[in-house]
Amino acid sequence: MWLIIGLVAGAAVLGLVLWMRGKDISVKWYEWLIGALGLALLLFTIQNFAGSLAELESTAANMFLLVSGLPAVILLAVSWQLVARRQRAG
Amino acid sequence: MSKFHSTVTRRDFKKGIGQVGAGLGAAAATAPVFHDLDEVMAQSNADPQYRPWWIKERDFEDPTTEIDWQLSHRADRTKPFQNAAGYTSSRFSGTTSLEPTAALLAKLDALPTPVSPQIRDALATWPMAQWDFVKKKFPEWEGNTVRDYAMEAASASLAFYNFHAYGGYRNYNAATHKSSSFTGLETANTPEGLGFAKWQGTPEENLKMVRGAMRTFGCEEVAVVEVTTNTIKLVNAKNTSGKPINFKSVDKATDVGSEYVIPNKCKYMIIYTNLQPTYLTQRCPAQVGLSANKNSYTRMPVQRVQLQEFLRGLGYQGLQVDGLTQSCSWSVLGGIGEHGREAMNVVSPFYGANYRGIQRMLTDLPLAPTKPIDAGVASFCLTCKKCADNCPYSAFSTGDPEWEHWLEEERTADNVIDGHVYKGWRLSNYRCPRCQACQGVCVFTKIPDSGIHNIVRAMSSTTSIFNGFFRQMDDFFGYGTKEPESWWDMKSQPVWGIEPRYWTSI
Repeated sequence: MWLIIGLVAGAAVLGLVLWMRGKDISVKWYEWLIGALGLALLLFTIQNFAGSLAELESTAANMFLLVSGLPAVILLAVSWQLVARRQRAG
Repeated sequence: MSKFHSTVTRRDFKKGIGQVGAGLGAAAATAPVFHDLDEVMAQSNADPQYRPWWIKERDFEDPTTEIDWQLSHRADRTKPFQNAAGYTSSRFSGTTSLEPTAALLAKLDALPTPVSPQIRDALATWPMAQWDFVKKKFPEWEGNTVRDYAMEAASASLAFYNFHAYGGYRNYNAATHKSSSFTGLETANTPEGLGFAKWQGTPEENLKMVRGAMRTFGCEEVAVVEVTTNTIKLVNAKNTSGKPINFKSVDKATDVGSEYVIPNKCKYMIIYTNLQPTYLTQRCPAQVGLSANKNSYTRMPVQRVQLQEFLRGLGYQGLQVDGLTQSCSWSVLGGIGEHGREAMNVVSPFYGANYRGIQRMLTDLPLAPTKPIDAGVASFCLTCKKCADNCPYSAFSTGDPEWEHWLEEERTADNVIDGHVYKGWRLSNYRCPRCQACQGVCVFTKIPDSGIHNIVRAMSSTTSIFNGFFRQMDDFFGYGTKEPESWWDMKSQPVWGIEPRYWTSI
């Protein structure tokens, strides 16, 4: 499972980078950092959500979605919006 | 300037370098430090005594619990020792009523040797304490059912089965010849009998070999502690019947009417573990959960016979000393886990408080001793107290480790075994009926699927500053006791009751 997730995530990031180069979109180092943190937190959430379900801990699984999944989505959204708004302004 | 690269000013670059450096410094505070390639290579399941980087080894005879070896002495088990266990099962009281108190007390009062007033008082509240505890957590629970009682009774039916009273497998011993559990059934062929030389191997090879055999017999971990002038004090001086246990310079161990004789050369104590059924332990103290430890007690006699015969087949002696020693002390010294607030259960960094019946066997097969560990468990217990908070019988200390029992009634009666020689925690023997609720709620009792568990273990092993937060999160995330009836609704109960991922994660 994690091999597939890694391949998908790697392909998605590569695709994103190539697409941004094509559109002449620049990304600051801190925008990369926020996005990477968001992606790492998303992967952490997926692993622990699936692991908690395997442990038959449904409450813990839902808590992971809330406690780490939501911040992951927020970080990814912040990273995206920082880039997008700078592009619109610039 | 190429349009493919964003420009970074010198100021931004230096700010970035500084921030990366700060991040690396913070990460290094919790990162493993490998001093050489051997340490890196040891971090794998190939190591006979697997230790991830966050488990530190301590010196022999120096566990995380302070011991006064000078004060320690071999225990005389003929001293009366009162505990609530054994009087609390439905098989004793003979009733399944929700309020069996009157029937239980009537049975207690009819015993030829009366129980102590302290136990009687504690047991007077036992049935309702179990009901109240579970009902408060799960209001929809309707109480123990007939299948719960049947499960517990079935699990207990062969617990502690005495193979030696019945002549053993295939009746190599005549029906009237009862073998000794101390020296074993003696059914395996010795090397001489097969025309082989006695097995010879290095202590490390022998430990790996014994571990392989015991894993096959159903034991997760094997530790070894050498009998020294200190550790010999953890072998009782007399058993509960008053039979002396004597070490002598002889070749063969004997169990005659007057004494147990242990050859001095039988100086390697093998400590081997036995997990309780995973999901049943989470249902304690309800009746179906009480079958958890009984299932382990059923496997234990088989494993001890198998180990004894394996050693005999190698050409060595295996002396079953479960009744002549206590489990937790040897387990802690051998690195199975640490002494924690659970007191009567050693707490493993891998399995939490889910071990049951960690057995001991002396042998003259040379074995490499294993060291005590520091995995941050004892320090976690200082602030956690989840076991104490979830005890229906108020049997736990909520304070710090002490040299004496925290309860005056236990101190006054000296109702302890060697109770003054270590600075630790103790349970109330009068109050604890072995309901196992504490084992299911221990923060370290976790099934190894979510990655967060090893992160918590690694962090708590390195620093204690997050321990209080981890305890709160353990509650917030819903870990702990589960609704009893839901065990029967599981899609698939694991074979032997033990989550198989426990066995493949180490």
